[in-house]
Amino acid sequence: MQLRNLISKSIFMYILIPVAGAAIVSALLFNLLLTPVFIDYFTRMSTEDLKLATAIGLERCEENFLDLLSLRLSDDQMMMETMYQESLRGITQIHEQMASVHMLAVSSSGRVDASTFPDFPTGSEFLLPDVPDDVVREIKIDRQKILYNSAYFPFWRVHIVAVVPLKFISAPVQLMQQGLLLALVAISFILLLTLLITLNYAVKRPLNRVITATREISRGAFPHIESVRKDEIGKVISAINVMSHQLKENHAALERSIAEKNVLLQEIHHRVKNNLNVVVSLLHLQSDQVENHQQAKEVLNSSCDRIYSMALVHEKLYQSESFSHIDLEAYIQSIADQLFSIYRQNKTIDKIIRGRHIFIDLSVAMPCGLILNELITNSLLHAFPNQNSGKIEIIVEEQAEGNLVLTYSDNGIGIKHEPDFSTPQKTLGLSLIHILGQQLDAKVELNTHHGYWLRLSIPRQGTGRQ
Amino acid sequence: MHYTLAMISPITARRARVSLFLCLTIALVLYNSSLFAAEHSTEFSDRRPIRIGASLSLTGIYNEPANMIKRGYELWVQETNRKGGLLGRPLELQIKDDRSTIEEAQRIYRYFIEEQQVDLLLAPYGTPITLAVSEITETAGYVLVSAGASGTQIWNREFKYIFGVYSTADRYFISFLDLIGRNGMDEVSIIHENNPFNIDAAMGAAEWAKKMGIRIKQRIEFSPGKNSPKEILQQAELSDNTALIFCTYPQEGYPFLRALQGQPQQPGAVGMTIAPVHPLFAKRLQGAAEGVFGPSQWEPEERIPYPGTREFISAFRRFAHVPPSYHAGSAFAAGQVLARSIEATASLDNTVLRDAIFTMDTVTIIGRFKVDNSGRQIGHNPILIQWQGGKKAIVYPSQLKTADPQFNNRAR
Repeated sequence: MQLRNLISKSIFMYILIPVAGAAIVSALLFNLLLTPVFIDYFTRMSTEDLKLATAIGLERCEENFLDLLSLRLSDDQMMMETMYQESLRGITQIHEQMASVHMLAVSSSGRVDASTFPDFPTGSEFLLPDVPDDVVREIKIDRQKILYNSAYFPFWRVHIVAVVPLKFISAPVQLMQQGLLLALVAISFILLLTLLITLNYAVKRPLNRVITATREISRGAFPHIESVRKDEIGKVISAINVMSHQLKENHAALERSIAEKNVLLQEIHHRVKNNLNVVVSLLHLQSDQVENHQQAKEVLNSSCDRIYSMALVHEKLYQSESFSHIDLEAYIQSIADQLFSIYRQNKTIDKIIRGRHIFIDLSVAMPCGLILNELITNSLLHAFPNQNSGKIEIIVEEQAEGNLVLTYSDNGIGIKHEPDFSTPQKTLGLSLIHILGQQLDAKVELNTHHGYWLRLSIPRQGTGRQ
Repeated sequence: MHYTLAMISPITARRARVSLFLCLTIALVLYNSSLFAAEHSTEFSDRRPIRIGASLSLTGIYNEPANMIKRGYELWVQETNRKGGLLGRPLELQIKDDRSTIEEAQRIYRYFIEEQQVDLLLAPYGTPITLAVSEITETAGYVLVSAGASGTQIWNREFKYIFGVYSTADRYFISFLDLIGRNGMDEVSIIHENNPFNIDAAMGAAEWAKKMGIRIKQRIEFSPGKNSPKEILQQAELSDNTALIFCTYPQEGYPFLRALQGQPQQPGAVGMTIAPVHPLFAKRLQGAAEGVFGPSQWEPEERIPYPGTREFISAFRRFAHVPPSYHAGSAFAAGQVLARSIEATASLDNTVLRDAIFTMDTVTIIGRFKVDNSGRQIGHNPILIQWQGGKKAIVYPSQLKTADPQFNNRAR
């Protein structure tokens, strides 16, 4: 990683940025400064070519003319014509040696006697511009701009014209511009690619590692990110490593503290449960000593049941992992089992307990347990006086809005006068249900016409659930 | 009375036979002796120098070019003798001064032919003198290779023994006219002396100007000494679009150029016969020489690619202590032509040499030599020089030029 970073950084810093910069500056310079210079250079080259071309044209005419003189044939019309045609060939051959220069041989009457210029073929008319011989000028002819030079050979009265279309001059510059542009695009592409690769290696990957590390931290792992970088990202990694290390230590301390508190809490619940069981045992002992007072005995037994329900909560709590929430269904099942074992009296009474795994805290579990204790005890003792069988059904539901609905019902005889929970109750059981319902801020609905049916709707904030 | 052998006695017959034998022996000895003597005599005559005679205008109006010709002849003789002469014989050159007069030149050639009975003759300088002496040499059957005359009249007489080395005078200004035509000048004025060479040069210039579409603005003929150059120039209508041609010998040419320098209006270009080719032309004229064109048969330019040219130039400088003019080069070339005809035929018979020269197509130090059936030079074309910055530059033909031509109407 260190080597890769160094390489990518070196390439980026010391090669690509200077190259890209140079290319961009070159492109700008080329367009702003060098294009006119190149145009001027090619124009000067073409000017020299034109001067050379007309000079060669004159020389070729001169050579043939001197041959005529040497042979004393300057008065022979046929030989003159032959040598003139030879001169024209010589003039047009210049184009073969200087491809950018087109040659024309124009008679004094303006007829083109020979030409390599497609715009003015042999036999066409060419209006000679008013430009002195051997002076290269830019002129417009037939809607195109050309560089023009001419010379005159008197013996054949022929004008030797050399032209270079300006498009031939600008073509190499355009080609250079296109090449430079292409190179610029290629360099930019490579630069961009390298930038992306460099960003990937130098920024994205380290950041991803940082993100992964923070996620791991949030999950309770405390990784250490390896890095030797000294830049900003290196500093961030270093800070995260420090934070991770610190959190790890804090987490360990917290875990130790929680473990200690859990042990303590477990011990408290265990002791509370044991103490409550001791109280239950004491009450049972007292109940056993009350021989003739049935009501007192019942009161004591009821208290035992109630205290047992409370102890059961603590038992469930210290058996749970969290020490704050218990499984309501299991709790109800335990209460029901205990009460059925005491009050069923050889009757076949089914108990149906349904409910999802709903976990509630101590403050809700305790009143719910006490209410159910009263309801189940009441049903087992009074709902089935003349029946050997019956059914008690407890359904716990969690509504969509988070409210907890506990529905209790039996198919017993019911009660004649349905109690009014808005007024103080005469019996302790109903009083407890009334008081505990208020404590839970619950809505209590009751129907006693066909068996006993009670619905307790506990709002979300009263359930102690999150 | 008639005798027979039967009628003679045996003794008499034997005496007769002995006498006959003796007579035959003596006759044979005498015959052999005479043969030996004859052979000995021939061997003796082969070692004799080949005698060559020439008349040149070492004084008088033609002295300047003629003296160049003299040195050219002398150098040719020296170089030939250094290489062993011709046909194994050394050359012996006699040059006499004709004082630039026809009569003296004729007298000298008669002397060489009739009294000296020289083997070969070399030509004098100048068309008038050459015209006159060629009458004598033609009659005597002597080959004359003209190194100093180019008048066309010389070859219009259908003579059989006179040959030209130069291009003829009527062609002197072709290159000049070609250049002024190229440079946009469409008029020319011609001022010429009324003598055969200069008339030929002027008429030739006029004819070629017409062929090239250049208008003859004026043609002024003058007799030397009759009118001053200034008066003649006042008649000329000069403008920078008009070229001016002077056809004169040097003695008349220099005053014309000096007079022209003072004229308010200058021509676009000035061309002149003969004088501009001399190495001292600029020194003699000072500023008046600048820009003047001159037709030349040859120039001592080492870049001229003819065989022997470079060696000739250096040899001439050592020999004469001045650079050679085309007259000197032509004189040397005339000697080369003569020598090649002798070597080719191994003869000094002028008729044999004449026939050889007629068929000759060779290259001398000044260029091609080829003549037509009248002896007129057709293989050689003149070049054009111009004085630029006090120095002579070749400006035509393009293949030989050492500088671009310069004109008054605009620089090229």
